[in-house]
Amino acid sequence: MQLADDVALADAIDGAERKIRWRLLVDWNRDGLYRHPLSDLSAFLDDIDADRDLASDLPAEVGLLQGAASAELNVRLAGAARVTEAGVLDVTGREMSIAKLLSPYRTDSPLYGVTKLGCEIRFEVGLMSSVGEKIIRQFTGKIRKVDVDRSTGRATIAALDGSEAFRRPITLGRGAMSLKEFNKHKHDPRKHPFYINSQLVIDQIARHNGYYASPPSHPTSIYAMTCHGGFAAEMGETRTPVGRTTTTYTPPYWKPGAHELLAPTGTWSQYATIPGLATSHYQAWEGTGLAMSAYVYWPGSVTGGTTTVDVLEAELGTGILFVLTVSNAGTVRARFKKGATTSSGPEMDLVPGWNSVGGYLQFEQHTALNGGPVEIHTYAGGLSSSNRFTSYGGVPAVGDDDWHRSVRTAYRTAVGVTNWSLFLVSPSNDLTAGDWLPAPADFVPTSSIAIGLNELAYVPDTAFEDSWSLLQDVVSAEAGLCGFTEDGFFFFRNRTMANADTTVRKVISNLRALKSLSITSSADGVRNVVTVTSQDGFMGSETTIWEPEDPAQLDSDPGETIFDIELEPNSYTSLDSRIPARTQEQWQDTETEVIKGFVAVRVDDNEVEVTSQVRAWFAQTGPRIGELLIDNDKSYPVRFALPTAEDSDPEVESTSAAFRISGYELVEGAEQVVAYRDESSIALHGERTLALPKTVWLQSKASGQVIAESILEFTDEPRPLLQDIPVVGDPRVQLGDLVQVSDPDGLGVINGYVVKINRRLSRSDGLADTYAIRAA
Amino acid sequence: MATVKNLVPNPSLKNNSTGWFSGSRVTGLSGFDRTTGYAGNSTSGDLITPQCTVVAGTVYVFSISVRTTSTKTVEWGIDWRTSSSYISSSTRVTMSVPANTTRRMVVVATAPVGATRALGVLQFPGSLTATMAMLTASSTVYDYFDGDSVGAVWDGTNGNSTSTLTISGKPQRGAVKITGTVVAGKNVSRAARGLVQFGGQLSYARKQMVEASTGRIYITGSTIGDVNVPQIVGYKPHWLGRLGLLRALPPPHYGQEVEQSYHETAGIQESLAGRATKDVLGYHREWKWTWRFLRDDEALPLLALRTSPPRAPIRLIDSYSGGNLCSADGAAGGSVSRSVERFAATAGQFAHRLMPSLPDELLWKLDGGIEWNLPGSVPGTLYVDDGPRWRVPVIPGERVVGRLWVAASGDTEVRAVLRPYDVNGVALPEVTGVATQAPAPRAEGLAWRAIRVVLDPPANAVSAVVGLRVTAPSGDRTVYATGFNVVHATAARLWSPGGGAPEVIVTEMEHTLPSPREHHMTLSLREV
Repeated sequence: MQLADDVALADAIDGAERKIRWRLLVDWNRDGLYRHPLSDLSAFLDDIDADRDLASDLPAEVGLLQGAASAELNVRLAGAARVTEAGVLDVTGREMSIAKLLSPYRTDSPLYGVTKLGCEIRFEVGLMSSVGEKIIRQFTGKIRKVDVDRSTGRATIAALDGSEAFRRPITLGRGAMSLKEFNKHKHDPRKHPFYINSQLVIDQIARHNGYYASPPSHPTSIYAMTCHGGFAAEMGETRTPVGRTTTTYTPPYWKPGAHELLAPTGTWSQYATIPGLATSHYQAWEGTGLAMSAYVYWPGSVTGGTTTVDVLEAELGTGILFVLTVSNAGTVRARFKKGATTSSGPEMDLVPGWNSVGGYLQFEQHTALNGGPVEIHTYAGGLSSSNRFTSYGGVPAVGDDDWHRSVRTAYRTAVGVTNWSLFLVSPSNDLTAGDWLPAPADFVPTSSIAIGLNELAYVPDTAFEDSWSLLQDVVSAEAGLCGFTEDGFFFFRNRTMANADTTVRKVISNLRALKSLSITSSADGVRNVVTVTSQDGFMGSETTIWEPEDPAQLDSDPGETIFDIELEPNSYTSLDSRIPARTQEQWQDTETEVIKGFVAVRVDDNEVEVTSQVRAWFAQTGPRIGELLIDNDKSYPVRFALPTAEDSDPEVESTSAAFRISGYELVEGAEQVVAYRDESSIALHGERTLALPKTVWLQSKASGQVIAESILEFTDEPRPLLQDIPVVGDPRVQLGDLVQVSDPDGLGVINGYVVKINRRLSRSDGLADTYAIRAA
Repeated sequence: MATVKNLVPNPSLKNNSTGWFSGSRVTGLSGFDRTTGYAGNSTSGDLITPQCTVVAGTVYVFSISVRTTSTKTVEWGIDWRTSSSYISSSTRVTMSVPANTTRRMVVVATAPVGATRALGVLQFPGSLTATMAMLTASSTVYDYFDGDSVGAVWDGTNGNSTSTLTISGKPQRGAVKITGTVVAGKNVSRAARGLVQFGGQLSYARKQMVEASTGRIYITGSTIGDVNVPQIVGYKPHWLGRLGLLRALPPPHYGQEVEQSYHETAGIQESLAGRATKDVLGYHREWKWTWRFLRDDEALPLLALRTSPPRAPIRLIDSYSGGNLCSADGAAGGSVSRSVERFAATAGQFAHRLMPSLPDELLWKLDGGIEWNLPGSVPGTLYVDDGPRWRVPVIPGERVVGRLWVAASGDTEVRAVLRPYDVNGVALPEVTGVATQAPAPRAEGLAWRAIRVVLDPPANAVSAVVGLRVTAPSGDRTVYATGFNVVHATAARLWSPGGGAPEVIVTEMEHTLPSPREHHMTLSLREV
């Protein structure tokens, strides 16, 4: 309930004569300022409906507060404004009806040329209270339909909340627990810090659509990982977690961090290494640089382990590292490592708690990576400082494998880290304070995402999926609740939070506010057996993930040839882009299977094996797609196949392709179906089963149990539905509020959750609500 | 033709004191419209009028004009009688009559069963002079008349009988010469012309149509026939039109007063227990004029409202409603909603607040005002209705007076401001009132003080806004303001509800021509 503690507002709402106030605003200029002369449509309002409802996979009669909460606004407008012939809103003009003003074909309307569909619209309603006007936001969304009527001069506008624009195609960052890691502690789930909480996925989808619970990654990022409940990068690739043993890793592995979002707890002495890969190509040139920023948690003191840990690491070339190093004394510094040489930026102090830190390499010459001058900046606590190094040793040099060579990353979980991003810095812009993450307390979120009940072993493969549909899949899998608040704030609540309100927020009394009451009790609302199907999956060992179907598929003329390679879903490419050349003998060695490599022969003579001057690299460039570069320095075309026998017909082509790209494939776990029962309810009502649909987003049996038991708690007995309850309007009431319907001399007193709201403001009825309420 | 009868015989003691009781006839009176009357002393008893014939069950209005030399409380009422005995008395009206001031006392009552006679009874301490008694069988309060009044005749003996007034249904017309004293800033000639069209019925114009403070205007003219109009009182007309082109509406004809109604846009919801909740979304007013007769030059501008709607808002200056031309004030806005959207400040932040205390003048009328927070020592001005749509219309030559109530968190120097604008919305030099200290709060609440400013609109002014200027705050200040009032008058007036110059639309216009070049019209306006 909005403004639940405002006594003056409560008094005004309960008053016998209420002076209603409202505002209807449209951001025609799409700049967030609502400053178009016609942005304020309040005076045109004839009547308006704001509806909030739930879309859910579960049967309606179950009536659970779960699914996707969406809001819709329907506005009827009447009236006119004065417009000059030049299309300027001015009192000296002539009257133009709202229908004409909104008509896309009236060239003299101030709104001519404005694309109306998609503009943000806000509706606020409130009352005059004893301490002044109290206005409460009811809706924030986008216009999706505009109707104008010449005969009446009226117009209607329909709008949907944030879900309307929550449609950006998304490819989720990927990650999977290694099967080997999982099997180590199969019967001790506490030993699995690499489960991925559904919060990470939901947050990623929200961020992709512009709703941030923690700061967005830098706009020029080539790698970004929020670490909000899992190690799957939102930009770049993350694969199987590897690193030191986790046997001494003490749960909880994750707990709320800087913005109440999950963050890994650091373990200084026994940390894991989380590898990553920035797939964007990186090239250093004069004046430009590479920076990384993150929130780092400094516990105040650490024991054991080493003196320093390169907590965040970017490998720019073979043996060339850009790292943020944390010391056991509570300091951080950026470092540039090349071969045996390490040069450090200034050392800066961390404060206990979450710190916004960063590092920045600024190259002064194109050849910086090969030894040119570099300036190393360290950023912490709002301050930036740098050291300059004029030259570096010449080894190791960056070689030809620069092609599509991604930056490898590593996060060592010695301390907690969130919102890590690695970003390029334009040569024309020095870094400013705005390039770094704000102090945690300074960030103003636009979303609120609860810790999910789902623990995922892997992030299912996605490619350009509809964000809203994907979100609903993820949320439905744990019977959670997502949607947008009245002020456009995105939220996700898990199953246990959805009905968490235990305080009666409003008494809807038959004396005062209740206009009618009917109660429906149905046995269909009882579900005392909940079946859950879960199936996990893990990243297996490195294996071949792609081979040509035809030996001639990759025939390459002299010079460079690039092929697009389509990958299978749920396959993960290797961190190492180089495809090594093999000999026929190695290829055919039955003892050691070649999972990555190639054997080349001359196209014009299949008998001749080419063992030098042919090189190959593969880099993933997008979801399920990558590029294969063949660099053929020979003077003749080559084919990737085993040579034919010397005595074979030279006209007969080899049928045995010899090119393999390695990576990892998902190994699906066993499908587990478990029924959770409430025996006392079964004894009373008989077995009534709710089968949760099987989904790739429900992988853990343990998670399934939490979800099922939470559902049983609310479905073990018939909970009546109060449908279409007309009530004197109260602009404070929100979906999920626990309210008391008080009709003591009628149908009784019922506590219940508001699961549907129609809020209508009209000249004939005033401000009136209609609720659907599910008994608590 | 309608008639009205004054049932009091010898109502002004023109010839003698026949029928009057306990006092004595006096002549050469001043301060009355008649020079003869009746004087008495409380030691001699009540002053009682001659007996009048009445019919039981009929509503009567009994009036009399009184005057004393010292302030005293006077009671006036009716004794009902049969032809021979007393039955009962009506409710007594009580009035404090100031010294040397004429007051008319009026009582309205229904004759009880059995009553055939009525006497007017005056009770008072000390001495008193009275005359011009009038009893009419109607609930309408007419201005005094007797057989010597314009349009009236004695029913019997001149001066000693009852009298009858004939109300002409057809107005007198023709060129009229107007002479007399015209108060500066009042366009009374136009108003007077309208009144003359009533054919001498001016005396019976309803009070709310009368501008009490104007001077006397003497009108002569052959076309008003043998009716002599010795004295008329001008009043302010309604003005209608766009800014800069406001035109005085013809005054409504007698018996066809302006119908003004107030409408609320509200929905009523009812709980199961029957309790009602009313949601008020807005308010608006409507006006309707009926003219039984208009000349071409009066009718054609009205017809133009229909035939060529102006490309600018039509503003109405509603002179009847108390004259506060502001559409917004601290608590009650225009027709749509209360808000601060029509306020603008050159510095600081402001918001509407319900006030812990208000000046007595505003109690039961307003419930709040503007709380204006000014940072540091920054001076600033808070303007009201600051927008081309909301500015107060002004008419060159028609003085306007702005007034408002102020309070402050500490002694603060304030002034009232009026800023005129020309037809293009360009601000003209503004005038400021006298610098005044807005007092700091007292223990019982805010200490309010009224401040005022006068503007004689220059020739090119079409509108104005009133404002509050804080000239020299010392440190952070919170200033409170409410009861904004702008009137077309020579002196400040008490606050009245805003909206005296609303934007209106024509909702209905009827036009008939009963004879050539005679226009019968009705005009309905609605506040937007």
